[in-house]
Amino acid sequence: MTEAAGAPAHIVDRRESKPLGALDSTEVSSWLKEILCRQLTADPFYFSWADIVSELSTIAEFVPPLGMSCSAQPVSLEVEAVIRRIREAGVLTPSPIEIRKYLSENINTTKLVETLCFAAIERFGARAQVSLELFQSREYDDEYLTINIRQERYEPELMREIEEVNSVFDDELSSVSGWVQITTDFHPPR
Amino acid sequence: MNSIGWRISPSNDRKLLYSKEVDMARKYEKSPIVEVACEFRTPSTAAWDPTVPGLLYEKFRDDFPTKEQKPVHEILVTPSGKELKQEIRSEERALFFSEDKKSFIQVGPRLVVVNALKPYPEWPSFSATIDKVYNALAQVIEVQSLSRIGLRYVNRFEIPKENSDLKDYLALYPSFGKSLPESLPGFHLVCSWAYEDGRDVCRTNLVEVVPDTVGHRGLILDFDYFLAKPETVQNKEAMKWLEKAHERIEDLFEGCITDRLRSIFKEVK
Repeated sequence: MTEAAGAPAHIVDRRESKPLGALDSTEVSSWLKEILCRQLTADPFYFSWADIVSELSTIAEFVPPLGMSCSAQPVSLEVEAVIRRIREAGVLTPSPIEIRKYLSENINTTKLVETLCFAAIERFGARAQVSLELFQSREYDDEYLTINIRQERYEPELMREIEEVNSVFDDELSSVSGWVQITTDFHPPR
Repeated sequence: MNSIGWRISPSNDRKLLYSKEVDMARKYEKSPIVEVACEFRTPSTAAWDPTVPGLLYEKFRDDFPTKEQKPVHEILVTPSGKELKQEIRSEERALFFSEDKKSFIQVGPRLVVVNALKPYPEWPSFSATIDKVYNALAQVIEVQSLSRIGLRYVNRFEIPKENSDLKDYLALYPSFGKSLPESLPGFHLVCSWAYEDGRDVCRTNLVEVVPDTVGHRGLILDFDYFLAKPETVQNKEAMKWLEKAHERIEDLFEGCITDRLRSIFKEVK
C-alpha cells in the first residue's frame, strides 16, 4: 500500500508513531484525508489536491467543480508553505531568504527538507534548538542546507543519533539535486 | 497609464486598432513577480503513454537541457455513478530545466507546465516559450481540446508592519472588526472572479507569509486564471486564450494594489 500511496516507508504518522508502510489502504486514505483537511484549512495553496476536498462543504467554495483538474503547484508557493510549516513545528529559520533561494534552485529537494526538519524536531526538538540554515563553503565553493542541532550542553551520543536520523534519508538524498543534512556546529542555541 | 498608439482588438481577432487611449501594462523596477506558470492538461480520453516525456524532451532539449525528476502524489476523486471514486496516485514528474535553472518544464501524465522564476522574463518572451512548448506537445500527441489551461502569476512583496495598514497598500484586503482578537499570526484571503460567463475563473489568493525583513509583513498575491469549463477551448484557440488571461491578470493585479505599493515597486515611466 505504501507504494500505491507514494509515501516513503520511513515517513511516520506522527499521531500514532506508526510507519506508513504498516498501514493498509483504508488507513492511508484516511490519513491522507486528514492531512489534506488540515493543510487545506491552513494552506489553501494546496489546490493540486483540492478535488478530494470538494466533498467538504466547509471549504467547498474554495475548490473547483468536481472532476476538474487543479493547478499544478508553483514551486515558490510550495517553498513558502514549507517554510511556514517547519517554523510552526518549531524549526528556526534565521535567514528565510537564503532558504527560498536555495530551494528555488533545487526544487525537487523541498519536500525532503521538510521531511528532514520534521524528523529532526521529532528526535531532538524536546532537548535542543533546531535551525535550518544555508551552509556556504568558501573552500569548495559549495553550498547546501544544514539542520543544526544546538544544545546548551552537548551529549556524547548526539553525533551518533544525528547520523542515525540522516542515514534513513540516504536514498532520497541521492535522487534530488540539492543537499540537506542534520548536523551540529557545537555552538550554544542562538 | 494611457498613451496614444496601436493596440490589439479586444475582440481578440488580432486586428490592430489605433487608439488615443491605450492601456499599457505598467512596468516595475522592483517587480514583485516571483514565479509564472502556464499549465496545459489534456482530457483523460486523449492519447498519452510513458514515451511522451522523452519525445517532448527531444523537442525542448536545446533550451531545456537539464533533466530531473520529482515525486508527486495526487489524490483524484471522480464521479462513478452515484458515488465518488477515490484514487491515490503517485508519479514521477519529469522536469526539464534551462541552463540557468530559472525556467523549466514539468511533464506528467496528460500534463505540461511551463514555469519561470524570478526575474520575470516579461510576457512576450514567456508567451513565446509557451507557444513553442505547446506546439511541441501538439506534434507529439493529438490535442483536440484541453481539459484545463491555467496561467498563474505569483507575486511576493513586503510592507512595513508598524504604523501602516494593509489598505494603505492594497485595494484587496481582509477587514477585521473591532471585536475580533488583535493577535492574528496570519491570514489567507481567497476571491474568485468569473469571466466569459463562468467559462474562465481567476482565483486570487492574498496570503501572509514569512518575511525576510524584521518588522515587515510578507505577502503573496497570487493570480490563478484557469479554464473552469473543461474542453471548451479548442486546440488552436489556446494561445489566444492565454493572451486574454494575461491581460486580465494584469488588470486584476493593478486593481488590487494602491499607489503606495506601486511606489515600493518603483514604476518605470
